[in-house]
Amino acid sequence: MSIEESKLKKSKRKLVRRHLFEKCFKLFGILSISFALIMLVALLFSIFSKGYTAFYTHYISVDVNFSKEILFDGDIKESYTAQEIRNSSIDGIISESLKNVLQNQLNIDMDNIDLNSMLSNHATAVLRNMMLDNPEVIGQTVHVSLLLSSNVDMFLKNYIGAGSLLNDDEISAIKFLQSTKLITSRFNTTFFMNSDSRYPELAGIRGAFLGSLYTVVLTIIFSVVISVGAAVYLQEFAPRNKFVHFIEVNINNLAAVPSIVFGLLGLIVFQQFFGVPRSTPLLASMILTLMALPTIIIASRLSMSSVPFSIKEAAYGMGSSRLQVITHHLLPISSPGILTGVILSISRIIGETAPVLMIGMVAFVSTAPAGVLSSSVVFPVQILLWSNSPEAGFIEKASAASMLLLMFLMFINWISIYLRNKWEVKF
Amino acid sequence: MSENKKIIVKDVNAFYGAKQALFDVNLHVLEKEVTAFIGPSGCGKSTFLRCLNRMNDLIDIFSMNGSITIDGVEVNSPTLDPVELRMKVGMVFQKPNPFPKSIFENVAYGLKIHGLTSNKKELEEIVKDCLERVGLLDEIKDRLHDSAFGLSGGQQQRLCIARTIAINPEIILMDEPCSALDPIATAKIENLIGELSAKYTIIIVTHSMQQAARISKHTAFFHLGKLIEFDETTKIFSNPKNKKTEDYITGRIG
Ligand SMILES: Nc1ncnc2c1ncn2[C@@H]1O[C@H](COP(=O)(O)OP(=O)(O)OP(=O)(O)O)[C@@H](O)[C@H]1O
Ligand SMILES: [Mg+2]
Repeated sequence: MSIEESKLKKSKRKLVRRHLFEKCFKLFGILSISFALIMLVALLFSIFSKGYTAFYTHYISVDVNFSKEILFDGDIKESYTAQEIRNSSIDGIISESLKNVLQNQLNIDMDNIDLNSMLSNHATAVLRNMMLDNPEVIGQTVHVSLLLSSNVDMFLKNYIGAGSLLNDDEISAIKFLQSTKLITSRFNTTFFMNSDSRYPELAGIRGAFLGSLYTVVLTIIFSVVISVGAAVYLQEFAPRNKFVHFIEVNINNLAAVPSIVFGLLGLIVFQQFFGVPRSTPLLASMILTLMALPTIIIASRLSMSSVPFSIKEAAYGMGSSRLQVITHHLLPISSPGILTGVILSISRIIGETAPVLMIGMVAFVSTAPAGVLSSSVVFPVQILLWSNSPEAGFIEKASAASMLLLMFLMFINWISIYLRNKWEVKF
Repeated sequence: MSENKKIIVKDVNAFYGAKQALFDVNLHVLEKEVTAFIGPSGCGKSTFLRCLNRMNDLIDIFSMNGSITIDGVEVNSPTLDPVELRMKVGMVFQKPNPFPKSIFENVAYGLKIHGLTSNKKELEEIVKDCLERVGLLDEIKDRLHDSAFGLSGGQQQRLCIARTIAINPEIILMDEPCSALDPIATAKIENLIGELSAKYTIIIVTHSMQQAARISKHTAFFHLGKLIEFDETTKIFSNPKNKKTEDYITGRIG
C-alpha cells in the first residue's frame, strides 16, 4: 500500500467520524429544542386549562315578583322613599321566586337553602338598583338574570371540592335549575369591567390592567428618554477616560442587581426621601425604570456602535452638525436595536413582582386607578393576591389573569418584531 | 481659465497620536480645475485630503499644524464652524456611502439641513437637476423613492456626487471615487468630473495614473507623507523632475 493510499484511507475514516459527530450534534440540538417546546406547551396548557373557565360565569333567570307585601313587610303604599327601598327585604322576594320555581320539587327543603351562599350579593344590588332607578317595577313581576355566587359557579364548573361548601338541598336545587335551563352561562364581562373584590364572582382585572398600563407606559417613557440620552452621550460625546470607563462597567453591573434591591432603593429614595406617594404607578415606574435602564443602554450602545462609520462620515461630509448626525442618522438607523432593548426590559418588568411589593402595591384596591398618582395594583401582584386566596373562584381568576398577561406580552413582542422588521436597515 | 489660487497649503504636518502622517506639505490648488493626488498606499493622500474639510476632526488622536487657507480663510481657525466649511468643501468617499434612505431623500438631505430651498417644488426641481447632471435621472426616473441601496455601485457613487453638488459647494474632494467601480462606471464618472470642473474646484485622489493623466490639470505626488512633486499633470507624466516620481509612475514603487 502506497503512502498516498493510506493517507486517503485515513482521511476517509476521519470523514466518517466527522459526519457522525455532526449527526450527534444535530440530534442534540433537536432534543434541546423539543424539550423547551414541551415545557412551553405544558406551561401554556396548565394555565389555559385552569384559566379559561374564568371567562364565563353562571346566571340564573327567574321571574321576580316585586311584591310590596314582602318587600316592605305589609306596609303597602303608593310610593316609597329611597331610604325605604334600601331597607326593603330583597332577599325575601328572591327567596319567593326561587320557591316558585322549585315548588314541585318535593325533595328540596327550601328552609335549608341559604340565599347568600347561592346568589352573589350583586344580585341583591341589581334588584335594589332596579327599584331605585325605576320605582314603577315595585308591585310587578319582572324577568331578570341574577349572578350566582362563586360557590355555585365553581360547582357548575366541576371544581373539585366546590360542592363541599353547599348542602344537599342546595345541590339538588342547582341540579334541578340546571336541568330546566334556568341557569345559563355567559361571557364574564364582570371579569373585565371590575377591579378586585372580596367576592370572587365580582373580582375583575380592570384595576390591575390599568395599573400595569400606567406603570408600563410611564416606565417606557422614563427609561427610553434616560437610556437613549445616556447611550448617545457615552457613545458620541464622552471622552475616553478612566471615569467614563468606570461608569460603563457599572452600568453593566446594574443589570445584575436583584430586583428586590431596586425595590428597597425605591422605597427609601423615591418614597421616603422624595415623598412620591406609596402604591402608585408613578412610584412603581420610577423603580422599574431603574431596572430597565441598563438593558436599554447596553442594547442602544451596541446598535449605535454598529452603525457604519461611513454613514456618519457621509453625514458630516454633507455639513451635518453633530446633533443632526445623531438625530437624522444614528438614532433612526439604530432604532431597531434600541427597540429590542426596550422590549427585552419591558417584558421583564411587566412581570416583575418583588420591587412593586416593596412599595406597597400589594394592598387591596377595589377601584381602578384614576391616574398615575392613585394607588393601584399591577398584573403580577394581582395574580399573586388571587392565587394566595383560599377560594377556588380566585384561583381560577389567577390563571385567567396569567393568560391575559401572557397574551399582553405576546402582543407587545409581536408589535416590536413588526416594527423592527419595518425599520431595519440592511447595509 | 483663471489662475486664482483657491486653496493654499503651507507647512502642514499631521499626526495620528505620535505617528506623523504628513511632513511639511506645501501646495496650492487652482480654482475650477481638477487636481490629482497620487502616491503609494499609506502615503497620506487621504489624510491630506481630509485636512481640507476638517474631516479629521472625527478622529480623536489626530492633530495638525501649519496653515491651510481657502479663499484666504484659515480652515483650522477656531472661529470657523466646520459645518460651514463642509458646505463649501464637499466630499465624495472611496466607497459609495449613500444614506439608508430613498434616492430622493439622499439628494434632498443636504438641501434640507442647510435650508437651501424654500418650498417643496423647488426642492424637487433641484434634486432632479442634480440627478440629471450626474446622468442618473434617466436610469432611475421611476424609482426616485426607492431605497438608494438598490442601486448599483456606480450608480450609488454618482448618487453620492449628486448629493454633494446639491448643496452647491465650491470645492469637491474625491477620495478614490472610482476604486470600487468597473471601467464603464469609471468612464461615466470621469466624464462627469470633466463637466463639473467648469463650475467646481475638484481634488481627486487616485491610484490610476491613467485616470490622473486623463482628467487632471495638476498632479501632486506623495510619498511616505511627503509631497515629492507638484506640477502640471503633463509635466509630471512626461518629464518628472524627481527620481521617486519617475519610479512611481513607471511602476517601480508603489
Ligand atoms: N485613523 C487613523 N489612525 C491612525 N493612523 C492612521 C489613521 N488613518 C491613517 N493612518 C495612517 O496614516 C498614514 C497615511 O494614511 P492615509 O489613509 O492618508 O493613506 P493613503 O495615502 O490615503 O493610502 P491609500 O492609498 O491606501 O488610501 C498611514 O500610515 C496610515 O496607517
Ligand atoms: Mg486613502
